[in-house]
Amino acid sequence: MKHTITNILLLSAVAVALGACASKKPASQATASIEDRNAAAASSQSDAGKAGKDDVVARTMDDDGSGDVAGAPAARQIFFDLDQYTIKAAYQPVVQATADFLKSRPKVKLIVQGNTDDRGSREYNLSLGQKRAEAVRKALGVLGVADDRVEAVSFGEEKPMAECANESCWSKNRRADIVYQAR
Amino acid sequence: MTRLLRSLLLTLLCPAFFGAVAQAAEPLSVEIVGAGASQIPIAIAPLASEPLLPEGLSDVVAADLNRSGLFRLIDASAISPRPADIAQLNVAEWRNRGTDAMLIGRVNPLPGGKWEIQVRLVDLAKGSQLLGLSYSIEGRQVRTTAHKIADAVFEKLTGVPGVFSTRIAYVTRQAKRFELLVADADGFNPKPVFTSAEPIISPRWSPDGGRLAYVSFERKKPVVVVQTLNNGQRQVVADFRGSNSAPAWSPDGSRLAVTLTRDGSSQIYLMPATGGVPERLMKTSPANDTEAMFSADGKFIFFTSDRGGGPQVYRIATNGGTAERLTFEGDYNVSPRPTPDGRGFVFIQRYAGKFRVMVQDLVNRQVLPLTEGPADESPSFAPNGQLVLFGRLLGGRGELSAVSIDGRTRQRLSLSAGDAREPAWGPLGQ
Repeated sequence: MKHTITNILLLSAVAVALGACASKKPASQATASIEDRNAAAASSQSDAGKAGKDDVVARTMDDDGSGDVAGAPAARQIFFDLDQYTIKAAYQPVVQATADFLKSRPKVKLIVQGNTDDRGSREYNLSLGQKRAEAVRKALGVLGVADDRVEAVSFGEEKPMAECANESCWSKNRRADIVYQAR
Repeated sequence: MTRLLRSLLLTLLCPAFFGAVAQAAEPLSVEIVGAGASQIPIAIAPLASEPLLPEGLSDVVAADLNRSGLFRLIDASAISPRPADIAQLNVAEWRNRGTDAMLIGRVNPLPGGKWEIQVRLVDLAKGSQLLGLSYSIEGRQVRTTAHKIADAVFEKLTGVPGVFSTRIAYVTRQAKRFELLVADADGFNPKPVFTSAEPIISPRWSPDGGRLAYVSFERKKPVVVVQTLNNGQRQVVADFRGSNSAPAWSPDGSRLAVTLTRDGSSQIYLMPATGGVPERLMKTSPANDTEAMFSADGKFIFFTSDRGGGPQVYRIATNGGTAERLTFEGDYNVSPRPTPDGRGFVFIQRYAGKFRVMVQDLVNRQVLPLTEGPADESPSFAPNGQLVLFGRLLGGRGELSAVSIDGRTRQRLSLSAGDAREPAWGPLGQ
């Protein structure tokens, strides 16, 4: 399959002043965007530690809409601290909601895409992004999601939500994106 | 890798800063931003009857040698009459101008729109011929021939093969369009190999220069592709569950080392370059291993691993055994590339928050910085081992740079638009 993937902007419910990084986001894509005002995203964002001051968040999904499974939880991003690969307690509700949805929809599969900031080796960053994706996959496994329904992959530093040169911005890129696939 | 340095130090000569040589009309221009302390003075005379050719030849030779940083060009563009052989050259006059060597020659028209190119490299101290070469070419082969002449001159005067006839691969990004390109080593003749809306990273040349392996994100995840250059045919050789990345060719071109995550963490596998069953290199590796690269003799695989905490450079015998840690300074050492002569390797080190190109000698363990950063990555050796091409981030824009293995000569290759990254220098004799 040769689906192209595009970043579609979502506005999180947490209204925070737009930083310099966020202002670089391609607002012109708004035609294809979906506003996400889900409360789960709000609560998880608000206490996400250093990464919790995010304003505008993006998620990765497919042009053809296969990433947009009806009824799927809207919170699809998990942010990580620098050099960290463990899921913070603040994001446990995201993992739980994802697991609950998968159990209710046995035909849905998902890809977890791990991401890093852009400092350092592209290939090594791929392996670090993989660790973040694996952490999410394993957390779903603990909650009873069958192994073959979740594929953990990495985009390393290649799919930044924001292009940046400071910590508050880099933190947006240290994340795992959950992409649903209806089959 | 220090042979050239020694020979140059023995050779002579005054430090001279070269003015920037920018070819603004070209898509990839080369600019020398520093020059070695030891440079060989040389004059490249325009060839007798050279205006008959469809494009200039001697100026391409001169630009090649100039770009290497190892030569100081003595202007001979106004020489008249143009000497076709030594008998027509005023050796004493050019010696007095401080020139050690001089390239002269002639162009002879041949039937069928072809030309014969004759060049002679003259040792001005002795007044004797160092090199005499003749080529029968078509009009479209002028630049290629100039690069071959520059290679021969370079090898004659420095003792190592020139790399002016080689090609480089790199990736450009313009907005959301990624393009893998192959160009001549001087940046001319860029040709697209693959264009995608998704990122492309880690291009690696097959040892014969006929194929490129690279990582493409075209399937919503990284997969390893091998593409044949002469027909454009692409084959996804690694699309296993999880991520597939970091291809590296075995020296005989039969196998690829790749990083796969099918077992959870990133691990190095060996597989046929034409696709097939991957075999895990280290059955008991405790952590993330990636960025494999074969030594030139194929006996070792250098790689990055975080088994000791942070990422460090290791090597292991290709046929198994125990991995040996090679880097100990600092907490972030990645992207090892063994030198073509087997004596050492270059890598990227994070030092005081900056990423810089380092070189380490395997024999005496000496470690030296080649660049200062702040965001240097993806080093790639010229096939003669004298230059390291790498990507650097400047003001949010990627550009390609090359540094000599002694750190003294720098070149900057800047694209006119977009940004360039992930360079890979192709082999000799493509």
